[in-house]
Amino acid sequence: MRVDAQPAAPSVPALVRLEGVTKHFPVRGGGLWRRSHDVVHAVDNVTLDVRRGETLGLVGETGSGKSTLARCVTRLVDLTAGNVLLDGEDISRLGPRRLRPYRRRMQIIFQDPYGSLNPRRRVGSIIGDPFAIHKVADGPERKHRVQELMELVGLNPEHYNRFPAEFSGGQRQRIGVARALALRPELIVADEPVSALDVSVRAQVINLLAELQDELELTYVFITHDLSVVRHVSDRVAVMYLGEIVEVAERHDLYAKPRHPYSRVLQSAIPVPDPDEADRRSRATVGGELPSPISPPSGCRFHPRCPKAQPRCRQEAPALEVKLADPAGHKAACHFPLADGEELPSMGTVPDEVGELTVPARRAAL
Amino acid sequence: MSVYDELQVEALPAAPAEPGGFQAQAIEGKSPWRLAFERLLHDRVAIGSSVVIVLIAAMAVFAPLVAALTGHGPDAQYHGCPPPLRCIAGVTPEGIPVGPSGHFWLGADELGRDLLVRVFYGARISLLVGISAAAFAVGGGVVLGMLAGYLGRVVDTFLARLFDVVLAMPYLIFAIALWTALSGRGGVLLDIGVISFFSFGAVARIVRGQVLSIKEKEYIEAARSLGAGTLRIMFVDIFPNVLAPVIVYFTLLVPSAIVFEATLAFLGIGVQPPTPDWGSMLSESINYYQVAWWYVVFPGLALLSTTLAFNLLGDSVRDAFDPRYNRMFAKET
Repeated sequence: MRVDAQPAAPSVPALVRLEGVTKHFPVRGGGLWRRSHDVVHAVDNVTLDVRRGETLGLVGETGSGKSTLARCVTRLVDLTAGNVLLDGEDISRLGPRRLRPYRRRMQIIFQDPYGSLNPRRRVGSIIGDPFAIHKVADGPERKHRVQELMELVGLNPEHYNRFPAEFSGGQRQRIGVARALALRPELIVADEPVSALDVSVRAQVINLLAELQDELELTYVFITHDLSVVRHVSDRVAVMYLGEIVEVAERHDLYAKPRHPYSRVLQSAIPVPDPDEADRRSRATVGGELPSPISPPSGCRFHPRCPKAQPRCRQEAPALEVKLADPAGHKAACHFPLADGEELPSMGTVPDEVGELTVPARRAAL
Repeated sequence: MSVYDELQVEALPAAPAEPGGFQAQAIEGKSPWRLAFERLLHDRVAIGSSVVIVLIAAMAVFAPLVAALTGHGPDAQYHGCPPPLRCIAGVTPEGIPVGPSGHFWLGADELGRDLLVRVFYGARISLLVGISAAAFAVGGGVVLGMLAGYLGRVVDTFLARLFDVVLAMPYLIFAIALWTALSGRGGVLLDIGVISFFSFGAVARIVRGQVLSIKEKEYIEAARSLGAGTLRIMFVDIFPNVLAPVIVYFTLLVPSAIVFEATLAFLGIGVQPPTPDWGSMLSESINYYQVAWWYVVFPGLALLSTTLAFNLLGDSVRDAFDPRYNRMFAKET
């Protein structure tokens, strides 16, 4: 989370290790028995390490499977295949009861500060929930610890007896953070923690998370579709496309030398505050929309939208591995990775308003 | 949940500025329940119908007092006596009930019984059956609806079909059949059993729908990620959110249970003579309405005002939980 973070040494052991994590959701048919053989390939064969103490940014379009991956890591959904290892222990097949001790060690912060707090319960009881569930503290002691937490995240402890509706979005997100921190977890999965907040409040919450990381030695998996945020907070970044990791690298490497064409497109979608600079900048865009995850494209899933696609891309799925002369931590899943400084050929026919991927285009048009 | 989500927004003190906007007082937030209750206190219709309900409850409680006051027991028959003697008669020698008088304030019935006393005693059966049948129906409906909605899968398929079957059954025919099968035993218990059995399905369906939407909320996921078990999630996180519609439904179920009971009594099912009951009084009275208007009017009025009061209160309670609509006559006092 440190802005000036040096690349973490590769020797740091992984706090979380994902091995071939796959999550498919069956699609319900409309008929009487609701049978259907279709599945949504939400997450497919994701292998990834999260090192202790780092912030791993997870970026991708809406629908790329980021949130599902977060729910796989925290075991809120059962995996279709693959393993999740927390500190070397496989937790991917544990039942609810045996999972409980591990739940203390990993927590999730949700995107929606309105949906993630029960409107019928007082803030004190919401933040005290972890203590009640794990029978850690009771009565006055619980209240005391809840108020400590409220202070830690910048809430007035005297607002213990208020209801969530009496707080602003930013304050509600602080409540969610306090609840997640109550049991002193090692891993925090933050699922778009600031997307629902006003821009003015985002920085406050991000800075709060950064301070807490320093103070409590937390490991973050930070999910977002906002690339400027991920650039600000991450040590390493993993790029997801249609349920797969297409590139993972140290933050600097990814932004300086993206290998996967999709990473390059995402990168060029980051808005630049200076309009002149934005005009000068070369912009990579791709056409089309995210294909249906029910029947993902064959071979490389990005090939229908990729300007560099070759016949091989249609047939053969590329492995996630080190390309060109990259350091060991920089892997990309592409048959034809971009060389240093190489520009993507233009798709030509693409109108500028293709949505999320071409934000600067719209800005330039204004 | 939808409509209940936003209701606590109004009439709140302004939230303080972002972090650490410390305020000296106004610490205790008003719960959604308290806000709804305060709204209810400002609703004329709610106050009026509550007064009527309290009066009817008082009728039930103080029925023996009225019996003592008039000196007429609920089942005592006053046939009068042959000419030389003088005694009270509730019925003429021709068998016509006597109208309202100093002896019988609300008149008498065809057996010479005091209608006033019987109407008072009748409130007991109506309230007993109405409230307990509604309570059983709501209790069963909440439990089964929550199980169906939260557990889903096979449990849901099975229970949801059960609710459909119950709702599709012709309840009067069922009640008559059961009555015959029990060869006329059961009385009040039969009433309560039949009414709650045929009412729980609707409650269960409402609760199931609510739970289906609530269980997808992120705060349920948050509870799961903290390691909360199924029971804790159902009772601590979901139940408070389904309570509001359930309370509303309860207040509307009471009058329908009262009418249901009166209907059964009218048909001669359940409570048996000589037990005073509004439904069976109305049933008897139809033979005499041309000569004894009081016999129809007073039990009918009692039944009407009870059900009307409960229905209006139910409407008010619903509006208190969801204050977005304006009802007629419901302006703030």
